[in-house]
Amino acid sequence: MSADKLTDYHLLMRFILTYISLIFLSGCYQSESTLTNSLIYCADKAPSSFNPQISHDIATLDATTHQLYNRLVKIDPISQRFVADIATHWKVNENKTRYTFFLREDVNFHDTSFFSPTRKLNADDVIFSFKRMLSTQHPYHSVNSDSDNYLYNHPFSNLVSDVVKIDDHTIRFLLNKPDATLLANLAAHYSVIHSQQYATQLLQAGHPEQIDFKPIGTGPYQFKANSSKNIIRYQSHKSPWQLPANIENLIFDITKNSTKRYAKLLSGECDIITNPASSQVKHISKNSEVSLSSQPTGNIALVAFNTKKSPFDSAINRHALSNSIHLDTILEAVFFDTALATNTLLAEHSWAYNPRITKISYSPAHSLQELTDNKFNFSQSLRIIAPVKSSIFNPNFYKTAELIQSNWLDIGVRSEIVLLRPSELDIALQSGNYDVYLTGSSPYIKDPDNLFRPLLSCNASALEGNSSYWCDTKMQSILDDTLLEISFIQRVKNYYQLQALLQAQRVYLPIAHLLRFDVFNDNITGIKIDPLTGINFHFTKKNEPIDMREEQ
Amino acid sequence: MLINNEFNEQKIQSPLQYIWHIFKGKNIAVIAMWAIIAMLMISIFCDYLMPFPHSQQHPDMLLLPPYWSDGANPIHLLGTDDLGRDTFSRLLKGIQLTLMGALLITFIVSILGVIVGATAALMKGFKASIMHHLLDALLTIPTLLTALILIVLFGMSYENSLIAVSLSLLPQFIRGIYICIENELQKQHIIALRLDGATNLRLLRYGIFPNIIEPFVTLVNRIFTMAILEITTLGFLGFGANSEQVELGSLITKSLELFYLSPYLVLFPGLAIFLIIIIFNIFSEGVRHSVIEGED
Amino acid sequence: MFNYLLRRIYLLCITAFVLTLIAFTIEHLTVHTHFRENTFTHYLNYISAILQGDFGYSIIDKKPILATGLIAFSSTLELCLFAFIIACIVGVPLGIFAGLYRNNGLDYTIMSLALIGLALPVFWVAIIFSVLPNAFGWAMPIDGNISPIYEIPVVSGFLLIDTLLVTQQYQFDAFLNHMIHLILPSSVLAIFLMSEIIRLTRHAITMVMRSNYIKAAHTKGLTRRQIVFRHVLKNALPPIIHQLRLQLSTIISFAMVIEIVFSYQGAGIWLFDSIQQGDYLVLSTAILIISGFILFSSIIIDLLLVFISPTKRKSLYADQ
Repeated sequence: MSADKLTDYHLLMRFILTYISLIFLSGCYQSESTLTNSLIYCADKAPSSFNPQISHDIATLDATTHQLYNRLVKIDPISQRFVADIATHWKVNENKTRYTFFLREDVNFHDTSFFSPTRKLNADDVIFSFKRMLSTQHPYHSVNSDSDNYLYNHPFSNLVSDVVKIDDHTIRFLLNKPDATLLANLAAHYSVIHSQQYATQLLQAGHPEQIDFKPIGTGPYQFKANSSKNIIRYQSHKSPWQLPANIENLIFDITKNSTKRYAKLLSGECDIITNPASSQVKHISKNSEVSLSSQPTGNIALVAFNTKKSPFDSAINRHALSNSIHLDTILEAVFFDTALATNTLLAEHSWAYNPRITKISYSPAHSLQELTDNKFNFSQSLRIIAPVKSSIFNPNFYKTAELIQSNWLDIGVRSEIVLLRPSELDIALQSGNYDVYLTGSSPYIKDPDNLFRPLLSCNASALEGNSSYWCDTKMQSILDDTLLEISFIQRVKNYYQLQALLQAQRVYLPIAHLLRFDVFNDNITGIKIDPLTGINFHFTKKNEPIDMREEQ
Repeated sequence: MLINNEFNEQKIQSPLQYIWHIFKGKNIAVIAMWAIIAMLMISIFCDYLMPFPHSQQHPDMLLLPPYWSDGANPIHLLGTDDLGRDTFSRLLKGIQLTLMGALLITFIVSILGVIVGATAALMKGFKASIMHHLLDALLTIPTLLTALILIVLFGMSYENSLIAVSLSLLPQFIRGIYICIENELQKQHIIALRLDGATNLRLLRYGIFPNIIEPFVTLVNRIFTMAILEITTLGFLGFGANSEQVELGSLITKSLELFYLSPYLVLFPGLAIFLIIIIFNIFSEGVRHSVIEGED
Repeated sequence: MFNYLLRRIYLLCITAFVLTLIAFTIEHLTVHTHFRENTFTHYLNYISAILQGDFGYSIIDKKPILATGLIAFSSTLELCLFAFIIACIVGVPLGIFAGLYRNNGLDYTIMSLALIGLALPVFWVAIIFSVLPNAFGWAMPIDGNISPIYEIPVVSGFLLIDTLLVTQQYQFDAFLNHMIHLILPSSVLAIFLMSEIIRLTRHAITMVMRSNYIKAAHTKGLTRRQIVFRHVLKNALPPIIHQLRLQLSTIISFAMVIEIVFSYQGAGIWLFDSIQQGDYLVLSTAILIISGFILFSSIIIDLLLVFISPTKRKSLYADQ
């Protein structure tokens, strides 16, 4: 019997060894990081469309602006001056009301499975791209967008009266009044050039809305497919007119879970990831095999007080309740010190930032005194609403709300937290049935007006950004005047005044300015990240992984 | 079937006492039984046993590791989470919600299941076959799917998840009881009882139930295990307890993001679930073996 | 035999009918709550639509639900198959050893392993497995069926087959990549399957070893090895298969949870995403697909049992 036992044990061992050796076979597996002609970028959100003219969220910008399209001019990153992109040079008349652009003659559009261009880029394409946004009669104006949407054609409708074609490679912009910001607007992410031939083809086929979902442009990568869930594939431009891209296959893999994204970076399934969880940033910075890049953005996380209802219709209450929130705890617990503490809505690097604003202090005892003096009703429970899912403004709304709730409880103010889905949130915002709303703002142009107007203008509804239901004639007049103001110094003065008013009224409580983080493997070079316009893979190169290089 | 006490009398024990005597002899099972009693006490009195209230935040002590790591504060035995809440207290609260919920479900399912199963087994005719076919169809749907669908129908909350899980486990239990009773009905002593003129109720009480204790224990054990796994899975997926309630599955979800900072927050709830299930399994295995040996 | 088949088909039809009733009630309650038309005509329309293969279109991506559902479910099946193979290879020998050396040290070790395996919560083990390889320094993929680099056109729905059809473009890289992606999720599922199989095998072997014909073989002088291979295995198999058939729905439940953790594109994550986005139409289709599969496989396994087990065959011919 013992001989039987021995052979049985041998059998057992053999089975276990076979299985374990199968696992070691996976060492032969080379992860995707070793394939140098493919780059996988793991984003956290899917783009809402492929046209930065109509979608301004950062996910769309990452996916399109620098990959698929070019603009008339662009900003040289080193000298910060305007240099030619599609336009070779330009002339301005003395009144600064007419800008004439001369275009390159060798720009090719993408040649894909759904469109083959028969000519190179000419003035018709430029006219089409701009007329679509400017002219309400244009057949493509209302395609895929709500034409009353303020953000859709804002930068241009006040600025440009018309765009005319002089000849096949020359166009002229006619401005309403002299304005120096036209070049800045033309270099921004929303001034991309589409193909008019493609637009006509789609219109004839009866599917004009495809122009924003199956895009054609002139950029270093062309759109290949968006078939399976959350995977976008790009190919490098088959006949590039600029320096060709080093990567043949560019893949966007949308992974919503931040822990998963980082784990995929470590396992080699992603080469670059964006927006890691703020709790992991410190841990990532200690990892020597990956590089962490951080850029300040204009995005800001804020607390909005509903000024239409009591108790927040009184500025004293707003001040008192703001001063009883301990912002440092929020920064540490929610953002893990990965955001910049701030007292103002404008970022420090903006030219309109007023450095002499008084600091927001944390003084709960003083706040309690002020509230009692102001006859605050302590028996009421304040309603705090926030979105269920995290967004770029705030990785965890619920935690922020919990901290605020606990801070207010310390001075005797009760509150309840309600998390809402997007549809429910819209209903709540429209009805005004809340006291506090946790939100943020993400301006996409460097102009301060783009930050203040949606938050403070009487014309902006709660859904467009004015969740405080704020309307003040003085602030409105400052906003309107400054928009049309030519003198730069006067604009700065106006915005200083606006910020001082804001401080006094405490309409919003800013929590933090957010940074944009991206993490990538050490063997990737040449990634350009502009926090306002998105990531640029044109010059990205993927080298051999470091350990493989050592073996050679 | 005899024991000797110190006065040398000979006492004949009833079957239940004999089973209990055998059970006491199995050390591991008795340990498991005490562990279960301890857990029940913890669950019922957890509010008084917690060192800190489970939702109280300590902003100055965020993400502390358990007491055996360096950098820890011994006040917080198992560390704190990212808002400074004591992990140990939250574990206790989570055990309360999960364990009590699972026990409630097991209780409801057992009672309802026995009633329906016994009726189904003793019925004959058209109504019986309808019930059998309905049962067969319900059995082909995976329990998680049923629970998911019921949650979607009822709305997502902790109480609804308990109802959904009970309804999804009910067919399994009914099927098990049905098969047991069917097997018993074939036996001779049931026929004898019937010839005696026993009503159905009497048949069940004296003829069937005393003989199906062993499969019954197995079934209850399986239902309890599945109940715990389903409650925690629903909590993990976000369909069960909402953000304020602390349930072991939702604890794991909330701590996933912090995994690289503090893996303990994910490890401890999982270990708690594992311990509950294994202790219960050992206990019921012990009971089952005692019953088998006792009926020899 | 023919009678048995007929009875099984009759049972199948009745169960399928009840399933459609259930699916219809769910669709009625979640989607068409505002309809005022007669429930009965609504049901008839529903049945006729199903028989034509029209299960409706998903709200989110406007694709037919049936196609998406079948492709998703076939990925789940691949996962279950892989896990089953692994679990059999490891679990059956272990169960046999446990059964043969009953109440021995080896038996206790194996049985405690099985007990632990059954008590572990599925999603927790899946999470541990998804971060473990990196802790050891291995680069194992933890997400999805296959790397996004490979574009595989959908021919049969089963990635294992589809990747073999593109060998011209990718050689065997795509197939290997898919297999590697399968390893981690199926290992997690295999743990549970293994525990079940060990327990069942041990129980079956113990029962068989006690029977008279084994004692007779012993007295005949056969060695233990010969007894096991010649007599015990074949006789222990039917109860194991029978019990496994009953566990099929639990296995699929666990597979769905594992898929959600690993983002493996199977039925679990399809359902989860749809529910989160509010697309409740998929629920009734999911019930029909999954339960339909379980029903069919139960019947096929029953037929298989009838073929390989003479005792069951005997029960066929006896009067029921």
